[in-house]
Parts: sequence; structure tokens; C-alpha cells
Amino acid sequence: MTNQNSAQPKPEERRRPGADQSEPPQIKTGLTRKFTVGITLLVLMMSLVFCSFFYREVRHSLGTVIGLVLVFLFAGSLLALYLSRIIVVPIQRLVRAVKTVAREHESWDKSGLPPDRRFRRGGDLDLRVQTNDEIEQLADEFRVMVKQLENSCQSLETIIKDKSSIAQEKSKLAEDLKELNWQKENVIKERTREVVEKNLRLYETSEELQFQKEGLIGMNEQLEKTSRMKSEFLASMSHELRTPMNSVLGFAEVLKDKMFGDLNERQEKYISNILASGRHLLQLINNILDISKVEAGKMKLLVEPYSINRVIDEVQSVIKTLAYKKNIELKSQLCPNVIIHGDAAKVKQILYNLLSNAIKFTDEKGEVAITLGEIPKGHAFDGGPGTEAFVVSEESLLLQVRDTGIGIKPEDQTRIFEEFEQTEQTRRRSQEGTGLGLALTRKLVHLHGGQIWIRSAEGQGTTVFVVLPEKAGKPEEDDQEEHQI
Amino acid sequence: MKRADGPEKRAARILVVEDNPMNMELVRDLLQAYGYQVEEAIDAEKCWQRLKTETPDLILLDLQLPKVGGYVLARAIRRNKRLQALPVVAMTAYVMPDDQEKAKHAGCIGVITKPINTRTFPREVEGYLKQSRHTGFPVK
Repeated sequence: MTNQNSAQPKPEERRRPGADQSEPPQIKTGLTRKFTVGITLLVLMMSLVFCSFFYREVRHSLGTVIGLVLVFLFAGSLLALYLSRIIVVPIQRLVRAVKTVAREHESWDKSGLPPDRRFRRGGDLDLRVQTNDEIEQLADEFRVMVKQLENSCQSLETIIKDKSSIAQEKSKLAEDLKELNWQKENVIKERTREVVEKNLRLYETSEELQFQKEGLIGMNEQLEKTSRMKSEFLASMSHELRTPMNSVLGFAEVLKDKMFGDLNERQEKYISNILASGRHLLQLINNILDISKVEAGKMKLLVEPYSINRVIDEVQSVIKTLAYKKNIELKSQLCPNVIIHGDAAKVKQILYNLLSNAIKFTDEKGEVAITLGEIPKGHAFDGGPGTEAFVVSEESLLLQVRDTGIGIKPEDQTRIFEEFEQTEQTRRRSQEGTGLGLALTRKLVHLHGGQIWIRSAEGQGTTVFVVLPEKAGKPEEDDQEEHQI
Repeated sequence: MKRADGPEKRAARILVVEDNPMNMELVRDLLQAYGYQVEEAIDAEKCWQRLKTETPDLILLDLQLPKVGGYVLARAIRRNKRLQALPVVAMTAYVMPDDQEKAKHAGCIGVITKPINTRTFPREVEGYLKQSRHTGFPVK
């Protein structure tokens, strides 16, 4: 059982236990011999001394002397044998035990007997020595030593066992570690592959996006180009149209002014018709021109400080005649004079468009009101159809033009600010509309950095809200042109 | 419409360069009715021929002319030493801000947009005439 630890015993080590069993430790007998010879010689000498001492008495009986000597010799031999027994046997036992132990150094406890039994009769370490002298003490000490050796060996074995189990544990752990490492590597490989795949996919996606982006940029450029071409086309169209309008309006005006002679009533009426239609046509052309100017980015604001109240008064004085004709009450509620920065001419145009629209769609004895209020920074508006909710970022003015007119159908409310959009009601009501007035108005409001929206219910009138920043745009040179309407 | 008389001893001579006959007729009639002496040229070449032999008090120049354009003619007049002081007023239906700038850059002292306002047109022209005199343009 002790051999199992030496996994690969060397040949000589394997042979040794066998040798131990076949030839028990040889005990040398030299000591016994020497003892016997010594004692015998001692007895011989003593008997010789004895004989020589008693020579006178025994000389005449030589036979007796010889007999005595022989008796002494025999007795001396017996004594020597006995002495050698009691002295040598324990030593022999000790020697045997020492040899046994010495050969057991590699595999302790081969006998399989408990330590105490080994020292008794029959045990492989028979140490029965009761000589009551140094030899017994030696045997006792040897026993103690053997026991200690055994203990040491056992603890050594335990340590070795522990060590080997630790080593086993260690190798198992190493294997586990290897396994874990392998798994880890696999996981890493897997992850790496996934990442690479994802990267690839991302790259593909980004390529696709880039492609789409380029497509969009191209489309955008195309759109911008188209839009610019449209604006340019409209601008030159307007120009081409304005040239003949010069003659139409010019000659009609000259005739109407009777610069070169009188007209009869019918002629005067016709000339007035020509002038009215001609001016309507010119207004249309001018609106197209204005819108294409805004779209081409060529409409600039002539920003200067002006009194908004004065502008409203001026517009009202023009509008008053229209309102008067339809017996519409024109109300206004202004706040104390406010000086704001903006393009007064364009704000006038905005107001004129809104007020003339309000009057156009309000029946006789209706009411059109303009209200002006100041709005602090940070005020939030809900907006309305076509305009999202917003928060004013600077001090602004809120202009409201409210009428008691026919109102606007919900489905029309989002399109009234679009170009060439006219509601069915508009078409029925007037042949004068251009379908561009509100579109231009909105563009002018936006040019000022403002917002415009409406609130309306069919049959219950309409309110147009305009928020204008008190300080609009950067001061820039204006185009210094005026349109004759 | 009152005639330009009184302080004006001699009616100012205005050369109108305009390719559209109807517009030409309107401008001519209005200016004549106001008392100006009107000369006509239907393109830049004719105008240049006329300027070789005579010097008007003011040129009303349509910027859109066939063949040689109004801008080119205006610049040619500005470059000519003899005609350097001749005031040129552009007439145009081009109303983009750029066009106005271009006209001024070409040497026009003012721009009248078409369609003209027949009620104010002669007085506008009068204003340009006075302005050119005040700013040192010689009256022939």
C-alpha cells in the first residue's frame, strides 16, 4: 500500500522488497565467536594459574589436574556461551531491527502490523531485550526512534499525499483553465466574427446611406436648380408682361385724364374698365414678381425704425373707402405708440392685404377689427393650421385682423397661404383675387422673422394672427422700387 | 396738364431710345404734351448715330434693346469725352434690385420702372433734368 505512490518504481527499488522477503538480514556471529574464544582462553589461563598455584598439592596426581582443567574448560565454555547469549543476542536483535528499518526507508510499514506488534515476539522488529543495561537502553531508544521515524514517515506520506492531491487538483485546475481558455478563445472568436460582420453590415449600411445621401443631395440640387429656374422664368415672364402693360395702362390713363380731348360717357366707362382690368393684371404680375423675388432670395428688407401705429393709420385711410362702400365698420385697438424696426413698406403691404381680404369676405354691415398688442419674449403660441406651435424668441408685436365674414372651411384653412390657391368661396365672391395675396403676405411676414396663422369657423368670421419681431432682420439696402398698383 | 413754360426759356431736348413703337408713342406724347422737345431712336445704333451730330439735354434709355443692349450704350456714352456729362435715365421693366444696380453702374443717373405712371412721368423727367443741372451737368 505504500508502493502505490511511486508510480514508476526503478528496477532496483522493485527488487528490494523481494530481496527483503527471500533473505532475512544476515547477522554476523564474530562477536559470539570472540566471546567464546576469549572466555575459553580466560578459563584456560585461570585453570593454569590455579594449577601452578596448587602445583605442590596436585603434582603427584596429574590425571586429576588434567581432569580439573577439562572440567574448568567445559564450565568456562558454558559460561562463555551463556555470557555471549545474554550480551550478543540483544545486540543481534538490534542489528536485525536496524537492518530491517534501514531497508524499509523507501516503503515504511511494509509488514502491515501496528507498530507495537512489530516489536513483540514474531514481529519483524523483535526487540525483546531485558538486559537491564546499556543495550536495553539502546533498544528502548531505538524503539522510540522507530516510532518517531514512523510518525515522520506517516506525516511525510500525508504531506506527499496532500501534495499529490494538490498536484492533481492543480492539474485538474490547469485543465479547467485550459478548457476555460479554449471557451474564452471561442467566445472571443465568435464575438470577433460577430463584430466583423456587424462592422461589415454597418459599412454596407453607411455606404448605402452615403449613396442615398448623395442621391438626395443631387435631388436637392436639382430641386434648387428647378426652383431657381422657376423663379428666373417667372421674373423674366413678369418683365415681358410688364412691357405691353406699359402701353395698355399708359394710353388708358392718358385717355381717361382727357389729356387730348373729351370722351363720351360710354367711352369713359370702357376706358375705366380697361384700366381696372389692366391694373388687376399688373397686380397679378407684381405679386408673381414679388414671390419669385422672395424665393430667389432677392427680396431684402429695408430695415428702419418706424411707428407701427402710423403705418396702421395709413393703411386704414386707404382701406376706409373700401369699408365705407360695403358699410362695414372698421375698428382698431392699438397700444400706445410703438416704434419698431422693420420694413415699413412691406408691413404696410401685409396689413393692406389682410385688411382688404377681410373686407372682401365680410358682408354688408359686418365688422373688421385690427388689434395691436405687445408680446413679451418667451410667450408661447399654439399656432394654427399650417403653422406649428412656437415660442417667441424676442419682444414682438401681435397683430390681429378679425372679421365677421363668411369664414374658411377647415379643409381650406391649410391651403390658403399656398400660391395660386383660392377657396371656392373666393372664386365665387370675386374675380379680382390673384391667389397670391396671402402667399406673398406670408412670405413677407417670414422675411421679417415673424409668423402668421388663422383661426376661423365657417360662417363665424376669421381672425388672422401676425407675430412680428420688434427688431426685424439686419439693416440692408432695399431694392428701392415701388410698384404701381 | 400744364405746359413747361415760364422759367424755361427753351424746351429741353430729350432723346428717347425705345424699340417698342407703342411705348415710344406714349412717352413721346406725354413729354411733348408737357412741352419737351422729343427725339426718337429705335435702337442703340440709331441713337449713337444721332449723338454724333447732336447732343440732347437728357437721354431716356430703354435697357432692353435689340442687338446692342442699353447697358452697353450707357457705358459707351459715359466713356465718350464729349458726352461724359450727358445725363442718361434708364427705363426698364426689369425690377430686380440687381437690375437697378447694374443700370447705375453702367452710368445712368436714375431708373424709371415700367409701366410708367403717366401722371407723374413728365415730372419725374423734369426732376432728373434739374438734378443733372444741380450736380454740374452742363446744359449744352
